[in-house]
Amino acid sequence: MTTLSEKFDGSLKEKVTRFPSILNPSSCFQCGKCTSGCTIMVLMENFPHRVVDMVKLGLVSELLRSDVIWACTQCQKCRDACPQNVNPSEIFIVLRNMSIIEGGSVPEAYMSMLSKVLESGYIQDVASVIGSDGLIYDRSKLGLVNLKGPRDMSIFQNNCMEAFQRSV
Amino acid sequence: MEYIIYPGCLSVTEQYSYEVSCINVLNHLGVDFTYAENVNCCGFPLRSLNSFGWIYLSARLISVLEDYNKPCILLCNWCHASLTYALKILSENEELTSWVNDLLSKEDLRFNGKLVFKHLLEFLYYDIGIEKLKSNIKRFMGGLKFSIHPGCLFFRPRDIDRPDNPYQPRILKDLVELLGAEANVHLDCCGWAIYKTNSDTGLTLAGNRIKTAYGTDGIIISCPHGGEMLDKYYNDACKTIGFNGEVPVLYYTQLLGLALGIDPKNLALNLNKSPVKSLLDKIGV
Repeated sequence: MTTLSEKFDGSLKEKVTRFPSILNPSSCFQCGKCTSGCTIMVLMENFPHRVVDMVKLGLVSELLRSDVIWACTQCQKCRDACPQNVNPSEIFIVLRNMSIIEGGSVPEAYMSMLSKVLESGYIQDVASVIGSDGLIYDRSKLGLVNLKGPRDMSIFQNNCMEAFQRSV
Repeated sequence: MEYIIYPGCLSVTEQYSYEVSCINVLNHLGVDFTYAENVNCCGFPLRSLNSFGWIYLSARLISVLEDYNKPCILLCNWCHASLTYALKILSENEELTSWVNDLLSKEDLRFNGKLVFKHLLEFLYYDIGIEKLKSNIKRFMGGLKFSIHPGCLFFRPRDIDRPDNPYQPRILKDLVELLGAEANVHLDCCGWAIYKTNSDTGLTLAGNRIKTAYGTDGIIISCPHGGEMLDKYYNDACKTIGFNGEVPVLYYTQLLGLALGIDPKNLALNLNKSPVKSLLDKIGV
């Protein structure tokens, strides 16, 4: 049987704190306020205080392989409820970043949003919508201005590619 | 005073009822504004992929908006939170700021961290002001009762300086009450972010939120993410939780526009997917 101390990975734990974010897993004293107020605790059996505890114990690699890091809707209730400024919602974000950097699977919806940003600057295509009158409306029919995304798309794309591949 | 406006991704690509009603309300109030150009997504929805990618996108948007030298009005809670958060992180991290500026310099842009920006609700509340709004009202909404939904990032998290109080947000409440209507605040999540990876959970959250407003005259929103979940996916959300009642979902700018006497055609009420007709009948339009 592997003991907790054998699974401890200090370097991964340290990496969690080096992303552009504000979080403090080490300050957690397991009061559980984050979990008791969690929007999706019941729906997805997510327990943020346990995730924070695992980070604190250095069990980050276990989390990076788990789907639990994607079970957060970023409502920020846990971040507001925490008396220690641990910011569990931010820990979920950074664990997702680390999982992807380590080669973990990326949800399709996120890849789609990134590819649209690279194409146009926006996270999705400009849509035509159907009104309650059965007619189809687009921006010009609604009298809305043409969108003007990044002027130099090739520099924008190169910068995005570089930024989205940065690691710690 | 001239303003620049950046509506954000969702408003300009599908949540047209927000953008159309917003620009017509601003025009009606005599606000001088132009659309920002050379813009991009603030990156907040992509933070899950890579936080450095996010900070680059937000820094780029800030630097583009800064070049206008005018205050900026944002329509989206996510953009507002994203720019606030990026400014805070970059102001405390020289290495990151210098990295971002190296990238931006390739486009002759520079992040200075001086952008003045506000959410549309803040603009209406503080810059236009309750008194001026009240004095322009043609149609009072007395007797109506709304369940209002400012959206998570308008008042959470408090450690990055949100426009409103996290437990008793009052800006949207006051803005609805000045129309003569009653307003009860709800602090729950619309489910947008989780919908991206687990649509059932997202729709359940949206459906539950809609159901809590049953018996009121509707939900009033002010973020395009809420618009997508509560209005665009209204039928799917109700179906997911087995709810059959009717709850109109409107943007605040649509409700305000009706109160100001703006022609309903210019408020894009025909684009709402939730059942707004019963409310319009009650208001008499």
